[in-house]
Amino acid sequence: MKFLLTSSGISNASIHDALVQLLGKPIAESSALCIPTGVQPFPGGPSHVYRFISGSTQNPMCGLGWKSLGVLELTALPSVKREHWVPAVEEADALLVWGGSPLYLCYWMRQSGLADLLPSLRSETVYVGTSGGAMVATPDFGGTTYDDSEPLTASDHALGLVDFSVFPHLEREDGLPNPPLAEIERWAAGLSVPAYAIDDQTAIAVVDGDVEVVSEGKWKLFAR
Amino acid sequence: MKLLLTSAGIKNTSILDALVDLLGKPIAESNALCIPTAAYGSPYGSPQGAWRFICGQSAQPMCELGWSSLGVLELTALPSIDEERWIGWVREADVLLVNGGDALYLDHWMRQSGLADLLPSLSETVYVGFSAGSMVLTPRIGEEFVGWKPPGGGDTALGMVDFSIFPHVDHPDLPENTMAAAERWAAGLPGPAYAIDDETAIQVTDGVVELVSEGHWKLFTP
Repeated sequence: MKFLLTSSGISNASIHDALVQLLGKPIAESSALCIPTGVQPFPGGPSHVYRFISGSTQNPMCGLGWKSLGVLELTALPSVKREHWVPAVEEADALLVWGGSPLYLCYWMRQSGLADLLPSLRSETVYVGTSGGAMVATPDFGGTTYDDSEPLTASDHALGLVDFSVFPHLEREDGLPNPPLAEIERWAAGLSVPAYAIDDQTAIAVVDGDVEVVSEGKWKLFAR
Repeated sequence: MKLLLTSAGIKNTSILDALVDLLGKPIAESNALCIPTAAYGSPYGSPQGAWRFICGQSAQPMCELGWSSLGVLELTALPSIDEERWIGWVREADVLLVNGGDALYLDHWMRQSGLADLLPSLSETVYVGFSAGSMVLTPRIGEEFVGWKPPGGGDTALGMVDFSIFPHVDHPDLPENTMAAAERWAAGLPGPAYAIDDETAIQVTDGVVELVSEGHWKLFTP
């Protein structure tokens, strides 16, 4: 699997170009499944889910002109026969994983069986994660949750599909809490892996373990 | 709750007019929640089908009508969401748009989620179902429509109305859905049953049943 871990979706031309490069073909020839699950428990959840799926968010992942798009709702999968959903995941060129609560998303990634399936997917499959959707691909999100309710698990131990952590929305300007750099440094110091803090104009591409930062904004690496 | 039980969504102006009547205000001033869940339980369903339903690009018009606001209420997620929070979402909605797919899978999640218990208290809310989204409110769907098997077996659904529904009768793409097949299906059921085509809807207000149709339908009584 290849990864494009973003803070705020496909927010500029550089990140868009990186996505096309990872796909190895135009978006219009690529099929995608979108995963809205992370935002289900948030205030205004239904509206967030609709805007993500319909591609009407500010920096859409779904509204990019995919050849085909489907909804993979993780909370439904345990009650669906595996033969009805596993082939759809195996055939997809890209998985578009929306943010929300990383705790909730991570719990359902495991509970659904998708977490176990991901490592066996074709090496060409592109995992595109935004915010919480990027954080769950890391080994550890160090207690950063964006979530006041912690419904299922208090564990910030994530899937470890890549070997660094991500702190999204660096210097965010949308009114949500914007921790000072010193606080992010303390967060990074508490992790056992290197960490990137990235702003909404930045993404991290990973192919065969090689990490490349794609940015029209700001980012910072906290090495171990 | 006011019900508009369709075979294939808001297919014609008669059904659209009935919907606006039930809402008591224009669609552009009404807040809707769509429920895609039934699609996931059907072997004929697909992730793409759920996407088309939500984005209003299916052949069963519901989500694309121009609602003031639209949200996705995913029943399988509700047991892991704070109850007070999601009940608030449902109470604020003017209308629930319920996708087709597998009726018993939907019945299972209507109950598991707690939505089935909440529905009777929503007196002003309009429930619009199509296909399995309509059948789920009936007492029984009939053996012929059992696909996904509930843990307890059987063909019983929520029983919020006292008749059964055979949707898509005489549909050109479903050669087995003839009126004769519907008659055989109805003969196996203890209560009244309607066979309706895709141009027909059953409206229920305060227990009064009214057929809205630009196509054809038939009532079978035991």
